[in-house]
Amino acid sequence: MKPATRRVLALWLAPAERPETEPDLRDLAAWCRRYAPWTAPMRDGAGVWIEAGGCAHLLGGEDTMCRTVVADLARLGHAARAGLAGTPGAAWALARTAKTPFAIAAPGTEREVLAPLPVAALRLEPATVEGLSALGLRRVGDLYPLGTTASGRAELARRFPPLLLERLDAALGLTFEPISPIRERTRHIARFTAPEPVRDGEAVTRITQRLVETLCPLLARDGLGARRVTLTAFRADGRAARIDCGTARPLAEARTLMRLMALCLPRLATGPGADAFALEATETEPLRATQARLDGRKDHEDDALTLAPLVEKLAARLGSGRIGRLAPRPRHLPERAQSFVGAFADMPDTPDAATAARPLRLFARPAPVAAAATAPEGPPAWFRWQGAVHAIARAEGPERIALDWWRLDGWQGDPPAVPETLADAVRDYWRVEDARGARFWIFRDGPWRPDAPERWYLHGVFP
Amino acid sequence: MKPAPAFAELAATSNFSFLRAASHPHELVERAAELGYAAIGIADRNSVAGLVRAHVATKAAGIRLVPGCRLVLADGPDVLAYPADRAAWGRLTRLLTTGKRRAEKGGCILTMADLAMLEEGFAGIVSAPQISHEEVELLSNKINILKNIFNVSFHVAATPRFDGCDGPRLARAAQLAEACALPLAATAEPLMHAPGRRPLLDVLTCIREHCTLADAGLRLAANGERHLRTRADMARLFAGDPAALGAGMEIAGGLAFSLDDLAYEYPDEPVPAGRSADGQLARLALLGARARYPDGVPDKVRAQIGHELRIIRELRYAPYFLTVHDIVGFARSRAILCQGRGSAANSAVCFALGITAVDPARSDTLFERFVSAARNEPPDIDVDFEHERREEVIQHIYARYGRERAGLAAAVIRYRARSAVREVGKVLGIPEGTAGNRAEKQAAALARELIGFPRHLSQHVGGFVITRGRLDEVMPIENAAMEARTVIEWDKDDLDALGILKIDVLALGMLSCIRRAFGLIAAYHGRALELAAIPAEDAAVYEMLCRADSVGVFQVESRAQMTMLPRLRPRTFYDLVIEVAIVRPGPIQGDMVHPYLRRRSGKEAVEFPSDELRAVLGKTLGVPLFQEQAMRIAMVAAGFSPEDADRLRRAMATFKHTGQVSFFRDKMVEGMTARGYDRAFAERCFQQIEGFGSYGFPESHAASFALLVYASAWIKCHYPDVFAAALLNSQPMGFYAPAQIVRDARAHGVEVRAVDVNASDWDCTLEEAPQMALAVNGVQPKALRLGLRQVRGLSEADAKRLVAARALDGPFTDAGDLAARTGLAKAVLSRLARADALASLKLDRRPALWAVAGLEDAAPLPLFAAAERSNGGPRLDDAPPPPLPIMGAGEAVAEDYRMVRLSLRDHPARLLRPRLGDLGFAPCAGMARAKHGSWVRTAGLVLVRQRPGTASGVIFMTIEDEDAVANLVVWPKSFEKFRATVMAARMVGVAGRVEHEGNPPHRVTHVIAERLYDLSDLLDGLDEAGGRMAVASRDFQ
Repeated sequence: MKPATRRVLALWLAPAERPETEPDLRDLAAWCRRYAPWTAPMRDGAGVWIEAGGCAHLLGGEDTMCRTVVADLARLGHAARAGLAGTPGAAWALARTAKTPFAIAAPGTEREVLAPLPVAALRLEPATVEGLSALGLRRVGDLYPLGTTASGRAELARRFPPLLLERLDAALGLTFEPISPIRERTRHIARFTAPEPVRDGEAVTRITQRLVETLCPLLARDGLGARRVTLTAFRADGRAARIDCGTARPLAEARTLMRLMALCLPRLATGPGADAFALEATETEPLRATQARLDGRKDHEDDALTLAPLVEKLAARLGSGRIGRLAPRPRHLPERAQSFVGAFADMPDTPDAATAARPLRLFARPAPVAAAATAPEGPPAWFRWQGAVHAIARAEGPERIALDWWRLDGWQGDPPAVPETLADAVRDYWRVEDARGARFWIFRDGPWRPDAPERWYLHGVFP
Repeated sequence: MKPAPAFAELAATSNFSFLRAASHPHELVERAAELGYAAIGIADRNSVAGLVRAHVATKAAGIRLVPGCRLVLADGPDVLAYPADRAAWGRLTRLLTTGKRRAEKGGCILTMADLAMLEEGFAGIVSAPQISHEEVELLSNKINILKNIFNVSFHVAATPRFDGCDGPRLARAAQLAEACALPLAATAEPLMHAPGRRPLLDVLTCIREHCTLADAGLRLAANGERHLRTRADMARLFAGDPAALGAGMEIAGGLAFSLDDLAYEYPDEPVPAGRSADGQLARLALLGARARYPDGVPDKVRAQIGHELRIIRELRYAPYFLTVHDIVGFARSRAILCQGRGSAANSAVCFALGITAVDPARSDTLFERFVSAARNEPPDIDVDFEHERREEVIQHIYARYGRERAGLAAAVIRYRARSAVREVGKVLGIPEGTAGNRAEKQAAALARELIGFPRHLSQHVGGFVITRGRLDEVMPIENAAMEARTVIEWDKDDLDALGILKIDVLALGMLSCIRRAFGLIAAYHGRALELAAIPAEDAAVYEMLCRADSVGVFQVESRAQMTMLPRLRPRTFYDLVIEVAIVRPGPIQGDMVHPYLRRRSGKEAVEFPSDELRAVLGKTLGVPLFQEQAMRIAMVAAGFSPEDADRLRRAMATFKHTGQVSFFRDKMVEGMTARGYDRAFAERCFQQIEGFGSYGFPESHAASFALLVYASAWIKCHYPDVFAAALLNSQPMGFYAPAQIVRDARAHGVEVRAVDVNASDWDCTLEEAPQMALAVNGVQPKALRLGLRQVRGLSEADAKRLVAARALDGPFTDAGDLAARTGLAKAVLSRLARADALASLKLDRRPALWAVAGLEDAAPLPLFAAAERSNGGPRLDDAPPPPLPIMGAGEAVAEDYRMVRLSLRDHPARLLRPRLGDLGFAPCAGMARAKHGSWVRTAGLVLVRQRPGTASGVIFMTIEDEDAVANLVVWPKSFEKFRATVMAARMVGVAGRVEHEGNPPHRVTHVIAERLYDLSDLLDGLDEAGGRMAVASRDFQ
């Protein structure tokens, strides 16, 4: 049935303001139901349809309705334009081409209103628009002479896809273009409403426990695990308190999730008390089933899996930014050859830098030691460190590592001596063992020169 | 102190292992000599491209080169192979040829099994970068396999790497050597001649790995130790193993091969059986001379030919001349126009053989510029062929001599200033970073080092090497990027250094154009012509050139030439030779242009410092303009021998070896003062010569080109219709776009007709035109019908189908008929409709497009279509015209430019004239009449942008409106302000001052731009369809 007084409001969002994903546009359409019961996201992702027939007078007339909708969306951060007409096609065309925030075609005026608009406003394929343009058919009105006679329509149909006439007819109201309403996206959310505001920590924990127990089966049903959950407490003073909890792996197991939540809960500021709670899995990932091995242990991801709960606990307690580990970094210079990465970050896949062994403990700052080589470019016979003299029994090397020549300008390293020339910017590392079997990593800063004093440093110790 | 022990480094890598090493071959050689090495071996990765340069450098440095190659194997360790004799070298180059032929361009794929091709006669070094414990066994197995495949004495490389593991590694290398019963050879496997190249090596690594220094990490070497080390250093590092230290010298001692052994042999095909090459050449020269001079060979020429033949016999170059004669003869037999250029035009023999066209009776040739006994390198004969048919000549050479005997010379593509700065900047991260002054200085220093580094090998434009035996036993051959081409690894200089013949088979668009013009003149004007038959010294032709009326004329159509023509006012052929030579960086930088012009116009007295110089410089009014003159001055005024003079020229051309230039300066200045010349004059002479060392033309070359200048100008003068058609049919070539060629033709009274499906061929053609009151130079021009080739995006095959269908059954009657008989796809027909080529079917653009769009998708079979037509079947076009809006004038012009690159309908500037008037821009035609120095405003489409290297940053722009062209000069300070407009605007407005030079009609007018306005938006506004006006300009060619 074609309603006699159909009015459609097209909300066209500027491309930059469009939500990234289709579900978000659906959310936006749902949000728009505050204006009229029948709304839908546009299938081309350009905006939202609102069937406005019989609703405008509730909002103070069509003018006010349009103005309100555009202003409300602007507050949500969307630059939108509105078009209101008797057909979706005309409404879209108006919204798309309007120079003002909104444009309205009075009932029955679609034909005149559309005539001066470019044919692209009919939502045609680019190739069709181009083909029409080459023929000089650039405004919707240019199509009327052909589109309204039987022979003209046949000629157009020979030359262009059927969509052209369909869209033209629908925009003019000669045929009915339906708008299909939205369906909600599945969200994984558990809600709880308390009879009176809750402040007490234990009560909050109990409520959270219930929420977790509700949420986890929802996730498991869909084969998903939570990577991030958000607990929202709607407070009696009208504000909402929120905590976010990240996980190191997809979780759908209530006990584990609850343990994690318990660590986060102290951060939830319930203030004067909250009477409603919602727990939502805001990021999910498919659950990976783990296969138990014959020996009863889990498969290859052993370490990661056993470490994960610890890392999660520490991160939940201290904040995830504070938990990290050392990762190898592809650099020759020993002090640059590792970096601190976050606990949840993937381990970079880096080949080991040096062919020669590195000390287990590298000093943060190389310690100057007194030493002297016995032969040109050779290792020292002894060195003195912290008052003790170490006679060197064995030495292996040298491993010559050149400093980054492009960083020599204003060199801020350790040792701090700024190399004067490129030839000075080298270190000769030796692995040495003293008479008692203790092993050290020492280097000479700069090249060996017969006439110049040598600068030796201890950079690490081997176990 | 004890002298360091002797040492020879054999495993150096040069920068011809692209992006993997940081020193030129000559740097390695020179440094090795400095360090007192007994020998230096260079072994690049699957390449011998750098060896000739190294070989040349050893002669000056006084050190022995051991030529080799690092064979990088897909399934084994690197094998460094050094040939022991000439035959082994041939096997090495054949192996490399095999590896390169199976890889993509630039690559080489070799396996251990391939080494069987080398058979024997080599010394080998096995190099494995890391040897772990586990690898010792694997490697020893592989080496044992290699020993079976390849019967040579191997060494195992012992290379200190300073990575902290040298001790164990050298121990394992020794273990490996022992396991295979092979000796060790000490080497640094250098990638640099000196440690100071480490930054450059890192930069090269980053370029290769496409990363910045900051991100390169472990891809860079940990240290910069792979350089040529002092002998003392090596002795200390290998103190424990004197045998390994001495191994390099031992290997070098066992090898006798040198690149000098690659004696070149000419192919013997062109010499008929039973004759000697010299006898055959003498015979052909005599016959040729008689044909060239039907009235008797002048004594001067006869004597010159005799002189040349003597030198040629002495140097045994006869087969070379015969080979070129043979190739030129092939081209002639196929009616392919060709003409020798360059220094070969100094040779009377080449003229007699028909290779060159400059008459030695009329010019002052200098044979020594072409062939010099002292030079000990083959002469260079360059021949131009029609650019569209050169491939036939190339394929003929392959067919006649075989692919294993002929190949194109390589061209070494090097880093130039711009690319070096860009690459170094990228690697250092300079554009984004907050680089301080020092970083920029560092980048500049690195870029300076990088300039001149080879990047890759490409193919020379046309230099062919042909050998008597197998070419791939002289040098490796690889596939070129172009199909059916093969390229060798050495470039022109390498070939020169080894005395290997090269023939330049070059392409010249103007020859194609002239051949087409001759065809059109014969077909439409009934006159048979050839190059030699064009009437000489035609006053009308010179008058035309004096007016700078030279659009499309060979060489003199550029802006600079057009400015020079009215000043120089050529009146004879020799003036054209000067015209060609004078607008060159050499004479301009040597400051010879103005003195010459002053003397020519009588404003300055023509003086000669001596009578002997009057003989040399007389014809150029005392100003040296040609390379030959520079050489002659050195000979007559400074007492140089002809060979010395040629060395001087070459020293100046290779600007790098500055030491040599100063040697010649002293020699010349002292020589001249000793002969009584003023020292200041002598200095000035030398400076002038220096100026055009590399940028001047030899007179012979200028004369060869001047012949084509005259020929093309003659055609333009007498047959502007033919000239325009021939130019359009030879596109892309020359300086101007089709729009300007057509505009120029119309300005010369030629009616130009639009592309039409019922009239156009693929090429532009001529049609009968209504009688004109004023014929051009006595000839009634025909109308020029634009060809289907002008339609953008239309393929030649489709166009030919259309023309064939029309030829078969007569003109097309309607769109349906066109579609049915040609069977062309709808997209192609739409293109024709948009090009407005259906006008003869009474269909303007939009109705034509409408009709084409309405056609059935699959064209019916021609047979049925014909039947349907004769039955009076349904005809599309019986329907009343569709109600389509009429296209506006602006859009029509825009569509013209978009679809056929020009508009016969109107000029965009005329459509914009009222708007331009409102904005205060006057027509370009007014510039010529404006007072000198007056302030003007004008506007037009941009035709040409140029920044000549000689003009210190000045930009020249040429703009046109509906009636005239204006020349703009943009000084650097204006350019800085209006950079975007100058670089990118398709239409500009300009405000500036008028400058005139000379008087009408030989007046040259410029507008010195003070302000520029980008009017492109105005231009695009003409198109109601909202498109861009597709006007083409030639920018910075």
